[in-house]
Amino acid sequence: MFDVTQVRKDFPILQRRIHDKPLVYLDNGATSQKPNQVIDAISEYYRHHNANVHRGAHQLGDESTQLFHDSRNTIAAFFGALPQELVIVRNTTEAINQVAYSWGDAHVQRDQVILTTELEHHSNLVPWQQLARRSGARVMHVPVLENGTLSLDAFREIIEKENVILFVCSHVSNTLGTRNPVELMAKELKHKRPTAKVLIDGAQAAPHFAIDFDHSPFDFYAVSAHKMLGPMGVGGLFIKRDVLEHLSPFLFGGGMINEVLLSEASWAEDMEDRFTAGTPDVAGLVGWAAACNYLSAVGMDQVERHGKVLVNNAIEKLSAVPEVQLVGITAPDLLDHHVGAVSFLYKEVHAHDVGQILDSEGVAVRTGHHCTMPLHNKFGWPSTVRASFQIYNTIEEIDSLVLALEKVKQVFRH
Amino acid sequence: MIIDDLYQEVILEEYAHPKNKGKLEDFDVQLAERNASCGDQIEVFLKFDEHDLVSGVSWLGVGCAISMATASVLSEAIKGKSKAEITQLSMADLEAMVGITEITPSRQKCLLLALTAYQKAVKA
Repeated sequence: MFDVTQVRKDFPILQRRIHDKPLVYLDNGATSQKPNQVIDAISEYYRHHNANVHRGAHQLGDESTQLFHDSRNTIAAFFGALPQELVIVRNTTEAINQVAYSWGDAHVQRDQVILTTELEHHSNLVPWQQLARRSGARVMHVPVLENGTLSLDAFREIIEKENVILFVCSHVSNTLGTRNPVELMAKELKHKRPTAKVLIDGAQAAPHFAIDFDHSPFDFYAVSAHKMLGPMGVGGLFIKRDVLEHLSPFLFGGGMINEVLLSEASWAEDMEDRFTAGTPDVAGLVGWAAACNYLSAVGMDQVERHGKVLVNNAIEKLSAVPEVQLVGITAPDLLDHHVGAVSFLYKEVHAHDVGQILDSEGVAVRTGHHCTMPLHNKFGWPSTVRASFQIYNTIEEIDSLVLALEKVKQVFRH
Repeated sequence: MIIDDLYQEVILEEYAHPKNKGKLEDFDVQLAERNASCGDQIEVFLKFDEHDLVSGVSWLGVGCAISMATASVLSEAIKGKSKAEITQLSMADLEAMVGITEITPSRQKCLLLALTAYQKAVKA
């Protein structure tokens, strides 16, 4: 049974006091905190097993290699994928760029359409603007509606009329918390245009609900470890086998080769090796695997359920604050599609000032445009406040947030 | 404590009742500056007299209390000043003007936004 009090004991940083108040960490969309199990796994690796992988004919090299492979297996299994479908990257941004450069440069042509949406993180907009420049393709955007959801009507019209070669979309919006119907959209696109590919940015989805990559209609799925209790600096790009087999590597060098001559080289047959150029972040991978194990032990169904409780509670309580204007999904019949984060404007006070005052009460939130400038521009929001949740957050912490907002009113009483 | 230091009476007053906010009808220089990390933006308008001293100043902007209050305070402070005097203004001068003793790293950009705009404008 899920017990948040028990879970909190695993996260040492939650004991911190900020400005002499208990830390209320609600900036999980930016990065999550790490449990002892992850911190210890990384520390243990460096204390007892550190050596480079696939190289030394010595005991430590074997241990490190074994840990590297075990971790890959754990992470891939967590996402319902095969280990050879997992390309190790630094973060979601790098994963998206990898698709743009390796698959995009080889397949996207002039007059084709790369379809993205208006609510994407800059990391899922800028690489496609650049690919469009290189290829002569066009970038089109599925509009986001006032209610916080994507316009499926517009999506259907675009895939009907336009030569869409690639659809890229966030599984969960980092600003609005909208869980987009990407399975439905991917299926409809592929039914209409069988050769089109689909890349999903799963950075804000992976921390909150189970992903089953091999049973999904997605060709590419990008995630970061650090938003799901793992360490910073490591992430994954999942690629379906049929796509992977025809994909050229993106980074070249040691580890990923079969034979190297002075003038040419051939690539490793093993897909895991082919896309791992240079020394990988073994400790990072070990830590990420520990995070996957931690989440699996809690149970992703429990994680998802607790997340819903927090989001619904935050929406309910923030709606009752007269100065607060919530953005994103608030309609009761759509609430199931609101995941992980709740963003809002505060009447006549800039989000930065709200964030600063909340911090003085120990409450950590994100303020600004959250790397979604086009979304903010569309609705004329100069800047928003975002509270985003993880399994260790509590209803009492949402009360602390609401209480701290009282102080904003006091300071800006003029 | 930190909050009381940051949200001084000067900041709150200038933010609530900004001075010289608007667009000059007659100006010599117009310059826009934005703080990309938080989205704050400002546009400044300057007019110089025959001695190249600031004879008119105004600004428009959207942003937090710190950046907007600083824009207001600075718009008064640079009136009658030479281009060289404006160029020499530092963060310490700003802190003194608005009464903040210690700005945190994350808010330095807020404090500097307007100054950067005015300084770029006198060089334009």
